[in-house]
Amino acid sequence: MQRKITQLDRQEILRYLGWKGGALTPQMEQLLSECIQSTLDTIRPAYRYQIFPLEKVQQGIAVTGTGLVLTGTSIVRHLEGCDSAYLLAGTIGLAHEQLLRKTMLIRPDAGVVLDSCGSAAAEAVAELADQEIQAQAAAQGKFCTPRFSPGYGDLPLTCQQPLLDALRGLQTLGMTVNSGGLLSPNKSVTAIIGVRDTPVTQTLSPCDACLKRGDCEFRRRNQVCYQSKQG
Amino acid sequence: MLPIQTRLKEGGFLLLDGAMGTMLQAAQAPMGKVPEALNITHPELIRSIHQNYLEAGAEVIYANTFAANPYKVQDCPYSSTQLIQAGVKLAKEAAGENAWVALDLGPIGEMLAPNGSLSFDTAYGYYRQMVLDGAAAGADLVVLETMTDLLELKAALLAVKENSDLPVFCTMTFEENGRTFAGVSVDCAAITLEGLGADAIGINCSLGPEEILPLIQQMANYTSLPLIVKANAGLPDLNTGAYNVTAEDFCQGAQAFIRSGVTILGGCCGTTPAYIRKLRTLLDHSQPVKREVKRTSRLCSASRMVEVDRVRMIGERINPTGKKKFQQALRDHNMSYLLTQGLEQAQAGAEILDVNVGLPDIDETAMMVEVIGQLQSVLDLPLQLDSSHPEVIEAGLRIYNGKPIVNSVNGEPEVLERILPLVKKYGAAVVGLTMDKGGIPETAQQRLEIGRRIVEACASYGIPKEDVYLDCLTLTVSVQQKEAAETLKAVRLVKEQLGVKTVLGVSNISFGLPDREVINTTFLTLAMEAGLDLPILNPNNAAMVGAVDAFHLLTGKDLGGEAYLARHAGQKPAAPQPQTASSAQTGKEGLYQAVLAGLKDQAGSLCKELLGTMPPMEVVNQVLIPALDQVGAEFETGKLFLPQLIQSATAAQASFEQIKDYLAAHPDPEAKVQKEKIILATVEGDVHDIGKNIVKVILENYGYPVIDLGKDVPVQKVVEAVRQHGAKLLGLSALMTTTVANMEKTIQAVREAGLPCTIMVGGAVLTPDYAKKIGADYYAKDAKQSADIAKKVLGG
Repeated sequence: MQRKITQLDRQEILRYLGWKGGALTPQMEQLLSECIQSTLDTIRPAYRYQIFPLEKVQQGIAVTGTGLVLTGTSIVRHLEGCDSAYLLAGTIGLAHEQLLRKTMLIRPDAGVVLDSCGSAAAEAVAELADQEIQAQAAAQGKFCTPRFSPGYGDLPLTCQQPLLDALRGLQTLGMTVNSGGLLSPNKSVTAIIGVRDTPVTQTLSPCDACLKRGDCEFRRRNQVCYQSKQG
Repeated sequence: MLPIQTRLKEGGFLLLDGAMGTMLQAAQAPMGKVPEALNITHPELIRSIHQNYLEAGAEVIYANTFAANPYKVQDCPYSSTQLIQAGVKLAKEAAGENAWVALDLGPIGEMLAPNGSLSFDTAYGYYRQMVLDGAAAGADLVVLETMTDLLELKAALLAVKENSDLPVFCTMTFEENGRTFAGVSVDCAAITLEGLGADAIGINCSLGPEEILPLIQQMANYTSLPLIVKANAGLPDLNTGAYNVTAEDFCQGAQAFIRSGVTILGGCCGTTPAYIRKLRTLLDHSQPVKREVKRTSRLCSASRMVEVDRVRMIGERINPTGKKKFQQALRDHNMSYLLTQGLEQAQAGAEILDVNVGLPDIDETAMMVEVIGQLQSVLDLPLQLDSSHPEVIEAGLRIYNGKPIVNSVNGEPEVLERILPLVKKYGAAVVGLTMDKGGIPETAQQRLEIGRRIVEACASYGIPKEDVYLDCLTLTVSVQQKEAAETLKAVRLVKEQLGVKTVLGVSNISFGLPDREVINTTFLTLAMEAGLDLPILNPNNAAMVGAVDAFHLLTGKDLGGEAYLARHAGQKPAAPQPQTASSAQTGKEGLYQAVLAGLKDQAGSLCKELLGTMPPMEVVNQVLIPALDQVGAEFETGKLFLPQLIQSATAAQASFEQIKDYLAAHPDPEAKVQKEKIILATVEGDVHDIGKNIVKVILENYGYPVIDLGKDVPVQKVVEAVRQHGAKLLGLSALMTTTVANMEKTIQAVREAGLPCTIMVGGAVLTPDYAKKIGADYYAKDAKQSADIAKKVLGG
């Protein structure tokens, strides 16, 4: 069994499930605990990151030494003042997906909980890598921007493939991208983290760049869909 | 230069080259979209890397074609054909007459279904084109490497074998736990690839020599093919990408490979000509080690191997013969019903599943292909492909991931000629029925003779004895009493005289008699004692499974009784569900509360009870529908949330099942519970179907028959289904902005076909406005709303 991730955030899982607060029934508590445990037993968390110099080019920002060019106004704003950036890819693996398929057939109620547990686990993988990256940057006296993923704002999903290729995600993590820009395994994360000499004072909230901003179930409940740093 | 096959036959060493990517990085080559573009932009660089490896002593060099497939080169200025031909040509120029050139092909870069949306046929088509291009450019062999999905590798391997005469090496990439990223195990890979006709197999990439050693030693137990190792130079530093095993240590590792019987060696990521030079010296001073491989009967999926070294139960339930519900499920394309049948049998102890989907009024070939894919997406048991049509068998064999059994051939020469070449080509095992056009012979001796003919015919096609399972045929004891003993005698005879494994359908024996279980278990026990290896039975029958477990215990196959105890210790009545205070009630209120609390078993039994005193429609209208309405209302206000909504719906479904059963037993044409059909699909290009599946559960539980077309459904298929079923309501889901475009296309196509069908849509990125914009009639923000829409459109 893996030891990289030993617990999942219950509140976050409940948030994904559309929980609006209030007490849980003992059955729900039990179901939640059971799904968290089987998620921890099944996932194979793995991630890779690497720092690359950035270069301004006509179309946007080129990640030097890779085939990746970041385009769109939101990523350009996000990386203001950054002369380099980490590329990050992480996943919980395919085994959880296989378990989820089976569970959705025989116990759909457990299936939806398991699905949310998988999302929380993917978030935890990204968070783990993010922390290592921040520590590394701090050791060099540098500062990191929050994670910014393809699909946020106007950063197109087409940059998934070159991002993964730069990290050799297929060979090292078993991660692939389909023609629609979707990742496999489903519960995977890719992100760009800018590195700068001064602390990041004002950054974009992921919500500002989100297409669902005007019609978001989470915001209506005063929640966010991503793991908020404030807890 | 000699053909490389000659070298392989001689059994000597063969030295492969080292990493290409590592050398390109060291040379700071400009990395465009694909490194294969360098074949055209920087041919000198590629040629010089090949030359370095040749000078180091490599006898096979891999052309720079790893990712030059049509999927990966979409955005590249050069075509796959251009890159492949340029790559092979460069390698040929460097190799001259001194080395063999391999067309090197890696994974396509998009996952095959069920993990992704790439179809088997598309993957096959990509590989086929690359093989034709590589062969035309003069490649001496094909290498399929760094593969993690056995099915993708199978598509590639078939593409090589069906479109060229080139030898083919297959290497997969494993993690330290002995599984690939896709979950493929070492034993399954070895068994499947040898069966499919690979010329050499092994392991490359991901790990260093130390980590690969135990894995290749394991692989050596399962194949007599030459073994390949192309290890990484250890593990990379996450930050710098530098590898941690020196050429000296790498070579030390290689010595251990040689001792384990590996004869084909090279290097993967992090290795350089220095590593290959060391390997050259090592091979020049070593002798290949001969391996003895024990041949036994084995079957597998991609992730689970079943060795027939004891009785292994074949589940018989996926078969429409005599099962009305199953037949209806096939006609309605109700995959979840079929899959549940599979899952239940696996849970009950089946170790292999027979799959028969033959019905006169359905497309059996298409159904076989789909059911195999679906079953393999949720189950890891090996399958037995059961059909009387060769084309169904072949279609199934092609798509099957692993090594299956074909059910069946018999002693008829025409049947053997039609089926055995397929069994050989796809590396399957086969069931041989000991009968021919004269029918089932009366005596055991005659059945033995037919069995002998079958085994000989198999051998003539190159199918080894361990892959032949003879079925001595069970007859009904109430009709032909003497035959029972004759069948048992035949089992004993074929076992002793032909040395093959045996299979037998058990349940037929008791047809027409009362208390069939007693006859079946007794006959099963006698047959096992006579030498039966693979009983085909209903594993949901605990007495049958118990007989097998007891047999293993009594014959010492189950050492220490571990397996017996695991299944039979602590057998007690199922634990009662947690009771809430109100759920202890009975009658109308009890059922109402059970649905509210989501207690499935309780709701089912209370409903059954209630049907004794209340007409079914009243149960539906006065209890179930109001309960579901209250659940829906509480969901809307946030008092209940999604898992609870599903639990309540499942409890209601258990009640609806009782009502269906009741109506089947007490038909009343007035009490029509059946509602209009609803069609659901996740649109083309989208494989995220969780939301759609939830909607399905809820709609079914509100009593609507749902035709679920699955995920990644082509536009035309949706249109046809709406037409065929005359559906009044269609639900489409899409997760991503990119696939909403296909949702719009699907809606347009349904409209253009002039079908009077209301369309509701849902999915993460959709909004009510957007739904309207793409032409949908309704936007459903969640499963509950989809049920509301159904009620509005189709009526409660």
